Amino acid sequence: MEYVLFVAILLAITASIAGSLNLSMGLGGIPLLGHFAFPLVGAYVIALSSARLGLPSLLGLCLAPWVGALAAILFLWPCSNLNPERVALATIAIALLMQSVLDNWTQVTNGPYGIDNVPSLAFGGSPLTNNAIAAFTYALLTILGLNRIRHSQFGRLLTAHRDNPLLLAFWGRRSSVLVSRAVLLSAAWAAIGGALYATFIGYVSPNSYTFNSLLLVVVMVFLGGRGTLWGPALGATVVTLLFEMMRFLGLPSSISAQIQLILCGIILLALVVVRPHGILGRRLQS
Amino acid sequence: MLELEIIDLIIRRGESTVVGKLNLKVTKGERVGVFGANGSGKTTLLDAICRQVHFSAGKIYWQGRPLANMSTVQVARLGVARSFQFPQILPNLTVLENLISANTPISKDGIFRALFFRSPPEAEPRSQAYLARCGLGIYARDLAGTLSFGQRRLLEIGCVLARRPQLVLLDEPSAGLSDEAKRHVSSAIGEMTMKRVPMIIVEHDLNFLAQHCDVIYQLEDGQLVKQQGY
Repeated sequence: MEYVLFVAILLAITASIAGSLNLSMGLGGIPLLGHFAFPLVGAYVIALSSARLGLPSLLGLCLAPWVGALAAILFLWPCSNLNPERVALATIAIALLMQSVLDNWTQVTNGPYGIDNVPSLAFGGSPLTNNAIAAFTYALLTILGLNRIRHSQFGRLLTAHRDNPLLLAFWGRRSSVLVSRAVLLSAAWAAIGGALYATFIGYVSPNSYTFNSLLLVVVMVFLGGRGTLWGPALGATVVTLLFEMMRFLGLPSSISAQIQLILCGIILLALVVVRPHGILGRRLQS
Repeated sequence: MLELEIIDLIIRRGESTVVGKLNLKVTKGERVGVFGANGSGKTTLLDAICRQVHFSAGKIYWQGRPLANMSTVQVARLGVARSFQFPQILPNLTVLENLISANTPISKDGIFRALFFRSPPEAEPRSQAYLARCGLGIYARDLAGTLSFGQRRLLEIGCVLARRPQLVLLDEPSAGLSDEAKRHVSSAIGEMTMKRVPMIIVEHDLNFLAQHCDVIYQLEDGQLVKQQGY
């Protein structure tokens, strides 16, 4: 039972992080490939504030989205560019730089060894129950928030930015303002996910969220259907269950990690060929 | 009252001059028609007013304000709305959502409003009414990308109307349309005429211009030549 709950918590956190990427990449079409930096920042905020400074973990959880959004300011300049290749490359570069800082600033972050003994969230119940409540609430709020955004003027304009940015200008809207808002919200939301992950696992290192983690999240978003409400959650469920089932094959962890990456590649390739708009997505109109 | 004034406008593209020392005055409620051969610079003239192209020399004033140093966004915020030769819509939003998006004021674009408030319902009846008038009512919940060319044109003009424009620039609004669709476009132009919105209509169809415009110019060698008898 504990194992099922463990997987469900991980799934809720991962699906919500995928939801945050869905906001910027799915709805807004912003190729924010440096997105993996935001959960990492959130995880470090809670780890440093609670494990190092001894502050309550709930306070760290509240701080995480703000620091995540602050970190996202670095991404705003490249993201306001309409050239997708530049945005993708520049955001990866910034995220890798941030990861490198966490890796090398050993006095504060303990470098590649990371920070352990990150306390669990404390509000009554057992640590597992607390984490479950926090993760499921986070997932629920992700779905509710995404639903609101999709049907709001902000969401419609984000779609407009993805499909016809020139028209936005003729409607008197600045793409850069719209993109900034989407990236800041996406970053803040992903940082909460990272913080919840750190309190759940109790440990964070620069390798907790890497470019490979982002690939996994991208696979989830595209598998479920980018820009859709339930797509990322469905994608996260399929991928997480697939990977969890691999545990029962009894393979050594080094080999199963490689197989996971290969599986991601196969899923992405299959998607491109068979169903480019994902399971729940509809074919985009041009 | 003078609304739009173009003085000695010159637009060069590479070595060639697309628009040369062009002058134009548009007063309140006036409907100006421009026709000319393909490549004569009709669309470029509209692009220049919207600040989509850089002009080499000359001045454009809208309600006394120079547009030279403004961006497309700033010009649009002054109330300049336009349609395009190829209808520009949001294909992955529904027909109704396209109109609502164009209709909603900029002050309601924010994230806070998106997360904590429902969309303003007042935009919907207005948009529904337009859709019903132009025969798109049954497509209100369909994706705009599934519409035919003519229907996309009507939707685009609907979005122009929805923005409550101060100046309307229409680029070949009747091109490729059936007679019925042309009637809908005419009624939209009539609606703007009633509101005394000045318009510049670029067209190949001289009859269409004669029907809707107070004055017609031919764009020839980068210059506007007034057509007598219209």
